[in-house]
Amino acid sequence: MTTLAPPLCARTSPFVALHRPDDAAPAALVEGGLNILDLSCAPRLRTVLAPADPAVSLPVPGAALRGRHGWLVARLSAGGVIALPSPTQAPLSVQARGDEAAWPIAPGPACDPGFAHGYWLYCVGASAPALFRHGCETDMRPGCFGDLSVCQTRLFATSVLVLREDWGGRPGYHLLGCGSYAQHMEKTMQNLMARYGGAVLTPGQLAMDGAEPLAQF
Amino acid sequence: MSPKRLFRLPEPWGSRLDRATPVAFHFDGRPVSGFAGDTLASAILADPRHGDFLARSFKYHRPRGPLLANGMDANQYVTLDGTPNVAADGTRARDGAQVRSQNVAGSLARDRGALLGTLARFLPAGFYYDTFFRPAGSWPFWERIIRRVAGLGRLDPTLDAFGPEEPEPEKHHLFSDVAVIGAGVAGLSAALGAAREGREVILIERDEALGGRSAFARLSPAQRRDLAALIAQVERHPAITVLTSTTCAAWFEGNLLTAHARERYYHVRARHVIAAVGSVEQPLVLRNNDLPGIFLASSVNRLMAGYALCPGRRCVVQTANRFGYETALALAEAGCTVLAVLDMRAQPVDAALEAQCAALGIAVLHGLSVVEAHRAGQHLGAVSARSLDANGHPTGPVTRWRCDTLVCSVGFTPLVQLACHSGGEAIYDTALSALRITRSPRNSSVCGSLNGIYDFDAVCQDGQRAADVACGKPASLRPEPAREPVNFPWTVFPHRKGKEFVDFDEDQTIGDIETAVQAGFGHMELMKRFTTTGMGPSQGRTTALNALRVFAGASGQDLAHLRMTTQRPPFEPEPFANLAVDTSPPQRRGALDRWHRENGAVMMPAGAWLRPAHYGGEGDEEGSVEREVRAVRARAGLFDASTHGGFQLAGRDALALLNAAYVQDFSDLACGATRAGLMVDELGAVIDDCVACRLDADRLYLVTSSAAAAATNRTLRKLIVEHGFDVTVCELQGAMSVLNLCGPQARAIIAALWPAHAGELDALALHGFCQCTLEGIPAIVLRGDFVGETTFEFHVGSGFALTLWNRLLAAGAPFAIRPFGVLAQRVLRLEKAHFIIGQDTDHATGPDDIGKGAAVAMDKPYFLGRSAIAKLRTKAAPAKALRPFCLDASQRQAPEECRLLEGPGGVIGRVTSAAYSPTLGRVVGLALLDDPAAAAGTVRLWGAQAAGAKVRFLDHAPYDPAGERQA
Repeated sequence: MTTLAPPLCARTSPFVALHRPDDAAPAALVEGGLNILDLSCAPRLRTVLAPADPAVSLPVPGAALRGRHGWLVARLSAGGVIALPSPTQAPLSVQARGDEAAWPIAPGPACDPGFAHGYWLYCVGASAPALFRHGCETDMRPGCFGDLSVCQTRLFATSVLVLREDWGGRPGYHLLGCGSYAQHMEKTMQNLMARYGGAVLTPGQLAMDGAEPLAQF
Repeated sequence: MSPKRLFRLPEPWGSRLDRATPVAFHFDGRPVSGFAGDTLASAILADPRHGDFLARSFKYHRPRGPLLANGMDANQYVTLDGTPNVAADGTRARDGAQVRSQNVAGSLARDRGALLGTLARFLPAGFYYDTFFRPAGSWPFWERIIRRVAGLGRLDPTLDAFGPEEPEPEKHHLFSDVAVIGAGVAGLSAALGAAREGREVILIERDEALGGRSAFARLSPAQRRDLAALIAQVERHPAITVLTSTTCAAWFEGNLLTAHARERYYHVRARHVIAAVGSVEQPLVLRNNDLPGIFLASSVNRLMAGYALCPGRRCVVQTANRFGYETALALAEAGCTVLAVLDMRAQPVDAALEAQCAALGIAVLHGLSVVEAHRAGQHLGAVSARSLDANGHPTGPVTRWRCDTLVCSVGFTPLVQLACHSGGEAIYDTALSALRITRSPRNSSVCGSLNGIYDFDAVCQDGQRAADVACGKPASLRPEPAREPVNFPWTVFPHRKGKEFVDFDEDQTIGDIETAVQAGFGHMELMKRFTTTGMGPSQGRTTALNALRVFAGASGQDLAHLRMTTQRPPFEPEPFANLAVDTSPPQRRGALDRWHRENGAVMMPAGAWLRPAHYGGEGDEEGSVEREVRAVRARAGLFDASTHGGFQLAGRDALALLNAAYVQDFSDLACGATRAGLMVDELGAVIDDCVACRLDADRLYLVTSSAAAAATNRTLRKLIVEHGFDVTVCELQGAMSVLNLCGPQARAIIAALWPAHAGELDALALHGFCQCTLEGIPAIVLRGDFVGETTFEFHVGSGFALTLWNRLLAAGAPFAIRPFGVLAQRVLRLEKAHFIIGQDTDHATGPDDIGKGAAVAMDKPYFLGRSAIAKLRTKAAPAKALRPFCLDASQRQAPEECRLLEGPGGVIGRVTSAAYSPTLGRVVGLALLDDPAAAAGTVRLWGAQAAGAKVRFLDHAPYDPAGERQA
């Protein structure tokens, strides 16, 4: 395991109850369940591009593209962009913090990656879409909100950025929201995991359970 | 007890029953035996130990048997395990249940409340409007009595409505291309048709099984096979989600449907809605038409086919359509004696059905109608019938039959309520003698009996047509309604002795509607409100058609021009618990929330947030606050101020945005400098304040108050749009945490913790800031002054908050640092006379009122509220003043907020904040004075608490007036 840079060592996830003791054996992904990976301490970049920035080919608003090195770049609006490292490589990507060349897009007038969204969860498994049945008033059916779609919506009465990224053929959703609602979200996730089954995954465990998606640009 | 009329039929009757599984429960304390699959009502009514009815009517306490037998009938409500108003005919019987009749005084069989029935002539509709206001002042006496007898059922406030074993209700959000309401033949056909076209379909059915009325009807073998196949295909189709035992309660604009099952509340959004809700049979209106023993044909079919419950032994069938004949045949096959089929139509219509009746020895008489029912005890004992003339008026001699059962099938009313919720209109179709929907809501279609179609094959065809419409296909022509209408136009037979019930929920009769019309309520909506007709739990489902006919007759209006009264959600009563699901917004918690709670903090709500009030545990608030205040004043304290609003402004117009939003001039704010800002609204009232830090040429970091962060966010974004500013706003409340290190030892702690940064931080001037990385934690550090001691505010990403908090506490341990909560902070800021906007100001407090008039840059061409301040300054009225005050040292109890202040000439203002200061040994506070000059005189607190306490106003902060401790 690569040694993390000091800034990330100092970060703590807002999710405490979700995490297993350090000496616990890694949990295996439950195919039919709702599995969760906490990426809150991993870097992410949310920025605003100049209107005609030709720096990089971007997806249309509401969609995402996978870039080199596993970065996922999602277009939130005409100028709004968020970039997320691969769920399995997020801790390694930490090394790239502060090195603008390593980001898939120029930061521009950016928020600190960690500031933009206090928590970041990746939910994957056959029951992951049930999240939205229980807590979202936006139509997130797989046919309407397909792989690599992104939207800002309300989930369990809080504002959440949802980015769909399927993993090994399983539906998967990145959820990013304000850290002040993390405990609320944590309790909700625990209830849903108790109902549908599921595990709290580590990046390594997720990597064992599906091939890394291919880069699109 | 009168002899039992209803009895259980042998198999194969009772498709819903599992006769191998008995069910036992209690009704009114006596045992009931039934079968799995029984409803509460069918089990009670079939049990020979119980009578033929299980409820009394609302107003006159008349015994009422099952009318609809489908869970829509208010006269079948019971109390189940303490929960009132449970539909006995729509709720499955379960072992061990305790069921009680309701709305009875005494017992169900001997109800003292029935005395009201004998006084009915003195209790017409609206009698209480005319009666109980005299003599003056008598209303409270009558109100107590009326409230005691009014209402259905009694709520037990201690009851957990969902029981300890049952799950809490939850809300589900469902989406589909097509939603079909109703799973009768039309709904099934529509759902299957849409699914076959590749649409995702949600099918909502209030019954526990699919098939609707056809599941109990007398179908041909071919129709029965078709129905079974239809149900099987729907249940197997992967694109159809079937929700049974789920009632669609409302249909809102935009095709939002709300539906509820016992433990679920659904929000369903569909691109297209198909209403296939079916219809309910309508009763005849004649004297004593509510006696137990009088049934609708559809309920008889349901009771016999579904629950093996035969309604009686000697039956008369009154009909005006084929359904009555079919029911008569079913009764005869079940072993009942069908004395006669009375067909209101003058001529035979269906020779085949009549031949089948003749084969079973059933007499069929045309042009006759029952015009009066006669009681035998509490039950039907006989009926009287007369011929009808061409206009439906009874004529000729009376023929009387002794019978225990009258079955009526004289017409249907489509369940138009849901379609009306969403903009549809129900009109009376004179050709059909029925209500019909016109003007369907957008992106919707109706089918089946809503279109006046009742024949099995035609209904299937109409469901498919609705599916075609939903899928955007060219729709086939709508099947024609039945050639012979199922509704008979004349179903109302007034009697000189009354008791012809139009509304079975509210016990309203023909006479009540006539009384309303005579009293001047000449519009259906007015009549409805005066009489309450249609306002009961069944919401006019069995009332609307007959009420229209009676009203038209009483008012002389043309039936074709009358409209059904407005239909409003919900379609049927909903448990409050369902509506209350997920309605409370979650509370926001800072990144240190767990630390606080694990370290003895007592948490308190502060707006949307939960914050630590103090760290002394429950029961020691005063002592804890005092210890925390003394720690800050004497040594060091650490405060979690993470609820602060925070914004990052990026772009070349960032300063211009601040100039537009705040009263101060930010044009010359240098990089690396800070400036305080005051925001006012369009009326010139202060609504927020801020500290703006200019990070570099195009970036600003803005710290605002906690409570106003959302409003400030909106204001900033509104100004950007209005002025076209080139600025990006990133809201950081919750994303940033703010830790305040306060006290005389703050510098020493920093020096011990970060020797490399000690010089830089030590050099910070009051209100200055710097950006630095403290042991790997990127931070913005501000020099603050809110508590009146040397203060360093560390603004860090919330992910770093816990690490930094622990480091500061560890470094401060040698200095006996103590975390302090919101209550101590309130004391500390009052000692320094620092105000909080919203707490110490109100909607009419301007900058001049709080001593900030000099900060207003009126030379700016624009800022929000500028014109209002300019106008206010032209007025002669003196400004108010926010002044610090203290009380005598003997007075330890702080006055509450808004306590009035009494000067020599009366009230001069009010207390806005006050607290006991352990540092100063007295109460200190802030007061907003309407008349500042009056503060020079003797001022006292108004009111009982601390009455007469003398208030001493100060020209400076009560603590450290020169600000020496923040140097």
